[in-house]
Amino acid sequence: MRRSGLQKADDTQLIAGAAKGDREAYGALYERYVFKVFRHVYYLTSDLHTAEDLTAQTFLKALEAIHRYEMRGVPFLAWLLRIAYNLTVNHKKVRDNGAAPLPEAVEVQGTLYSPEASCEAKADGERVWEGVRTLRGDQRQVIVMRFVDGLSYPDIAKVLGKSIGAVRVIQYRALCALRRRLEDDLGHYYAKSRAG
Amino acid sequence: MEFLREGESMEACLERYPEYRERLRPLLEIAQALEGGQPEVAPSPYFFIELKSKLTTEKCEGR
Repeated sequence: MRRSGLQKADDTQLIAGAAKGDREAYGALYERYVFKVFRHVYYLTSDLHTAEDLTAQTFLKALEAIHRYEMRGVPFLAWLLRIAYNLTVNHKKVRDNGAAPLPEAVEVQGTLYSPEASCEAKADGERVWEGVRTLRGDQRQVIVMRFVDGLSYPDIAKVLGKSIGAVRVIQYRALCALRRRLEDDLGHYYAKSRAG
Repeated sequence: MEFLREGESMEACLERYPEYRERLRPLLEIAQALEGGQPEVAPSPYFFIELKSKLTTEKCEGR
């Protein structure tokens, strides 16, 4: 009965309970969001074990801080993702010994489009998601929040501490970079085919 | 992209901005691929259960 009640409770009730120390309420929040947090971290790190580790850290940190969460601020998922993002950046810093927070990739300015390539470059999902791994940190973050987490632009802006306009620009550049990469890949493929 | 997400076809989206049609098409194709092509990933069941147990029963630091 208690479990069924928790499953039906909305986030507000569960957060209020968890903030007062109700671990079962926190467990219900965990069940509701763990897969989303895990997927988010996985898409940023591309490693299952690291994603599990950072997901665990995210929920442990959130448990410590849940009494500070403000209902009228960002949605609970966005709040969790902000914690996850900070942990991911720190993890990368430690791993790379102080290098850039997330892998950098070549910045692509403007849209590079050729109609011929467009027909060939029918963007299949798997190939495009491979490309997401090569995006620079903020671009990858925005793409994951938008297309994996389904967050709105205002929520992404809150999580990243940027303006909505800046988020849109980052997304635009990320899509341009992915397009460029897809066209480059196909260019190599056709060059190899011709050589062979 | 909002219109695509709401189920509008790509052609219909492009009709809305004819002056940007050629520049928008490749980006909308990428967005469409991103929407539909995410590889499914999930944590292991052991991880899921272990962490839930930790979060609901153990005393955590800082509280």
